[in-house]
Amino acid sequence: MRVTNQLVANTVTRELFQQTEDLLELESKISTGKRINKPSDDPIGMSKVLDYGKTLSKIEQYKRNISHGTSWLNLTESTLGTLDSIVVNAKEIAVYQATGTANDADRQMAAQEVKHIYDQIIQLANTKLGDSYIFSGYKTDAAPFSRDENFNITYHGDDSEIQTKLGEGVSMTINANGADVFHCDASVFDSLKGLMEALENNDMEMVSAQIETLDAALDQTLEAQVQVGAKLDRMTTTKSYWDNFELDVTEMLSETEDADLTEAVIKLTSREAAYQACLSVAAKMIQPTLMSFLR
Amino acid sequence: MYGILNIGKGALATQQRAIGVTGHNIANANTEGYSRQKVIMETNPSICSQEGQEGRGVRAKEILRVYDRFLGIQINNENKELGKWEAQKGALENVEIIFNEPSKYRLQEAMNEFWASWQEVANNASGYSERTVLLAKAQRLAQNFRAVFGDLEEIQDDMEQSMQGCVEEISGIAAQIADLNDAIARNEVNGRADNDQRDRRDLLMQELSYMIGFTSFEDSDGRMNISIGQGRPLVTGNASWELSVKEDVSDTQKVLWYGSDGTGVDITSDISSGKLEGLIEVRDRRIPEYLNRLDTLATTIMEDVNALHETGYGLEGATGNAFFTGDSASNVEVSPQIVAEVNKIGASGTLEGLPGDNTIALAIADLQHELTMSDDTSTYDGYYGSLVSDLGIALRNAITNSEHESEMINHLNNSRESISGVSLDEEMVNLIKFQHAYEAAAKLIGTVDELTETLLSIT
Repeated sequence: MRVTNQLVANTVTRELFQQTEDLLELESKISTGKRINKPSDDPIGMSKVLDYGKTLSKIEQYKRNISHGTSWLNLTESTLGTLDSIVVNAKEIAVYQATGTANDADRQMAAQEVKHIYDQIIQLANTKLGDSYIFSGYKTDAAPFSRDENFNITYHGDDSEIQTKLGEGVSMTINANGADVFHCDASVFDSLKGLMEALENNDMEMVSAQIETLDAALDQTLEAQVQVGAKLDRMTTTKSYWDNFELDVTEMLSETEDADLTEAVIKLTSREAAYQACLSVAAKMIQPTLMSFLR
Repeated sequence: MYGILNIGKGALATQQRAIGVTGHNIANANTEGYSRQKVIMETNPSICSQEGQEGRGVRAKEILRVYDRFLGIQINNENKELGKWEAQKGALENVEIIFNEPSKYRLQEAMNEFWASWQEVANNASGYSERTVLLAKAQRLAQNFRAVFGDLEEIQDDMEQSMQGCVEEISGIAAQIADLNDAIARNEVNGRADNDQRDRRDLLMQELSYMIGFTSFEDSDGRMNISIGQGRPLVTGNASWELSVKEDVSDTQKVLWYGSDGTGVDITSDISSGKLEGLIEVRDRRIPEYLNRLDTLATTIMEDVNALHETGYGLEGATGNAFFTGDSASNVEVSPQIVAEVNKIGASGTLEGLPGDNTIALAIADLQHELTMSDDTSTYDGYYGSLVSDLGIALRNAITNSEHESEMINHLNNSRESISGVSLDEEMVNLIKFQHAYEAAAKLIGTVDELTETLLSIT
């Protein structure tokens, strides 16, 4: 084959460009650490990358929802715990005052104490998380309970359930209904009112009767606590699930998208050596001509 | 004696001519499109003599252009494909940059954050800051749609300019070829090939093939006739035709060919290769498809969100408000009412449920998982993902094809170079060769001169 000067020049130039183009591509992979920097690098891979990214974003949001729900439930739980001990306190008063050792004066003082307990419980029931009342159903901007001067209680909330999403198609109710906890079948307020009146009227039998109602109120509280506890458990489990899933997806994303740095660096080194060799050969090829040898 | 002198004279002239051609080759060693030339020497017709046919020396028969016509045609055939794929590659690369995936700054991420911010509002339905964040994310989503749409339209405008330039170049080359046709036909009247002009014409045809595919044939006078599309003439003899691009009502470009009566004929669908075709393919077929899909995505999101939002109640009881306004990805915006007053964002499903009711916010957040696109078979993310994927595949295709064509042409060019290229080493050797022959011929004349003197000195 006739090899002309142009042929040599063209070939050498083209080879050098090929080498430098490969070097540039490797350099880009190493500096971004990613194998896929644009859709055309690997269209199918890119589609997976977008998918994984979207999944991770969703998981993050579910975890945020879980965290929000958990704070709500935690506050509910501790409030109910406090309620429990206060009602036990009230029951102890009732028990003592229902005996013969207490007299009228004792009972009057106890009535005052019970009034304080009543107000304490109203305060508990009106607990807020941030700007929202947690026992009010949807009416989070209104305090759920208030009383008149005769200690008649009114519930201002509703019975709606506030939901949050734990996963695709999975929601959970995070609030406990104030009416259900404080003022339903076994209303702690009504019990306390009854106790108050019984004490003021020095009616030992009535006082004794209130012990039962207080017990019923305690049972109701306990039931609510159990429910909250179960929900908290579920939150924890779900969070672990998402944590693990997140790890898996992150790993898959990394496998699809990341450049194998070791491999890339090795390739780069060998390409650089090839480039050097190419340059040196090119120099040898394009220089000598017959003219340097004539005469 | 006289005859020998003539032989010498012929030899000198011929070798000198050969040296001249060698010089021409050397001078044009780097000229693009130059084919080396060589002098074809042949013996002069011999005369009859007593001893038999007597040779009469050498003459230069013709100057031959060393050229493989078939290779030239092959190169042009591959070149038109190269033009098409490189044009598509360049344009699609620009489109890819606009979508800028995967990144934290573009549509996919904007959509992710939009849906997430609805869930945050659901977690605190009476909250002000969550609504403010939602507004910001919604505006960012809308802005992203508008930006991508607008940028794509801008690329279309740029491509229009390219097409304009392309078509002007085609018309220009056609005119030049026509002129060369005229010159070559005139110069070759005496039967001698006009090598340099033919080289120039071949080079122009190669440039033309990159722009647009054509068929050609050379007539008996040496004129090259070129036709494009479905047999529309571009160059016929000394005359050339013109092309131009015009925009028609549907915002696509039409390529017009002007016949001899001056009216333009739309030949766009007849063009199947060359840079012009590549530009048309991307500008008027691919990009409109992408714009369409963007529109569908944006309007479906808008409609679905609005449908739910209008049944929702804002914090002051406002209801029936749209969340987004607009009818296309190019003009989607968050409703100015919402922008002015974020409390109008309707997260609640009922009036009585305010402010804790978050059912509408939850429902809107759920839209992300609904199969509302593509006849209810795909989610928004799925639809967008396949759009980006299709773009990536088209570009990868264009890149692979243009690399393939580039290699093919490289091989063909190397072959052509091997046949027609100037080798300086070879020319050096030829130079010496012809120089020696010239010296020998001069010596011959000198010898004849001495012989004549000897003859004359007899008397």
